[in-house]
Amino acid sequence: MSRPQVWWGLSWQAIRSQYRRTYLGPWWITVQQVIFVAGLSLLFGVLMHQDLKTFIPYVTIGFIGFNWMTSMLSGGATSIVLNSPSIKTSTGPLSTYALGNFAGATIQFAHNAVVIVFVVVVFQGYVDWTIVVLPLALLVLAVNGIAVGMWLGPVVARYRDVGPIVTSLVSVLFFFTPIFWKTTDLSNAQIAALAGWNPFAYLLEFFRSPILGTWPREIVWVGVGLITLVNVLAGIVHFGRTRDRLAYWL
Amino acid sequence: MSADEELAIELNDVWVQYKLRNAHHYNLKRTLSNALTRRKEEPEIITAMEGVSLRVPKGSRIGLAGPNGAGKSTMLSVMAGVLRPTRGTATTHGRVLALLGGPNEGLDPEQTGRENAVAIGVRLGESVADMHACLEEIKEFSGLGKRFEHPVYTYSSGMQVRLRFTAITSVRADVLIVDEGIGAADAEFNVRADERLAQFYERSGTLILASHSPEVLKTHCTETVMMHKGWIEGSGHV
Repeated sequence: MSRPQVWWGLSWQAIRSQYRRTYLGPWWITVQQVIFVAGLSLLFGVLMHQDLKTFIPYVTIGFIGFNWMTSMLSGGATSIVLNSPSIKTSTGPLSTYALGNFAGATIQFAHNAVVIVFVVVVFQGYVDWTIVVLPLALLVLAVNGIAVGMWLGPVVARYRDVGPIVTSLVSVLFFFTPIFWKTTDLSNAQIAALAGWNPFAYLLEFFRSPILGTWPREIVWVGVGLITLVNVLAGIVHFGRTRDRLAYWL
Repeated sequence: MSADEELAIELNDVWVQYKLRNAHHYNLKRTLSNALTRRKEEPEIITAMEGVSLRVPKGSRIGLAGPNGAGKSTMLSVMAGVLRPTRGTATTHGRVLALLGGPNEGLDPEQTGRENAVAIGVRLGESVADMHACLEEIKEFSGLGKRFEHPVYTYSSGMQVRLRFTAITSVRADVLIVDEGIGAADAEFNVRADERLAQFYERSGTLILASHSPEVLKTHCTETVMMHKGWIEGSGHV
């Protein structure tokens, strides 16, 4: 692992710079999230005749968790190409760029997590013993976020068409991931067709259900285990194999 | 350079070759047609270093000379570990500071001079604590005074140059690798900057400096390596 003071410190500084000369600073991230989640929850809650007391926490946690994952995925995809001037001139370890992307996305997520706490306190009013799974879920999402940057960054550097493909997939995945709809409202066949193939659906349920007081289903544990295993192996193997050639592709 | 001297850098038969892919390599129609007809279009190979071997003992002060495209910058990148040789081996011992240009040492306009000085040092491999320890010296030498605490977007271009130059020359290294020197570009500041630059080069155990300027090489180096078309054409004392 390269030095955290580089990847964490510089990512934090970049976010602070982005919001300097504003009164709220990085808390704008939180405000933007509140506005979007409130709109989304109200619109779909009313349209789908949902009980807002349970629907708002469901959508809020889902959307914020999904945002964290997709910002690690999209940022990971471009982490090598966007840092090409630096990669071609500096001697630091290349893992810095995947870790820096993870740090940036996680700092934003940490600001958004305040909204989750607020919504759970106001609308749900309690947390169940299932919350013990949450630290593991956070760790799993973080590990997957770093791993995806380790393999996807070099793939995009080598095959530039993959970048736009990732961007297109992420926008579609928003609808195919249970964020504003629930798998419990669907038949097994519908779940399999809509979300069974989608790694984000498993990871998101693993993150969301402990906060909502539900133990993640067995299939979710299996899915999350497999996704993490494949993702981490892909990250280690592909990064190790391409590390020496990366500077030639930029 | 005798064989039993302690080495700072060792290059053994180093080759660097780039595969040059032109626009037609990325043409979807052509790629599909090649796949159907099983025709292979090999990319053009550009050789930037051609079997270069060099042993640099610790304490050397070597200047790299040669025309554009001779392979000076590529050799510096290999020595710094930025570029891995396509063939052969490159080993560098000790803490390396590579100033190869690019936006690496750039300034963030929204951050203060103090914050930028720390960020420059950290990006170049210095620890946060070590950079904090020399902040007062950077403030004093750069002559920024109170402006050191102001955001860089309020600085004149001369002030930005002074901050960047002072912060970079505060970083310590065993092996210093520099492409085309470090500019100070400020008339008032130039005399003091030249002295500081000389001290900075002196302080580093080993110096590799690429430059087109014979004056710069003469001032800071004791030996010159002449490069031409990716290989070493000759070497000698400055």
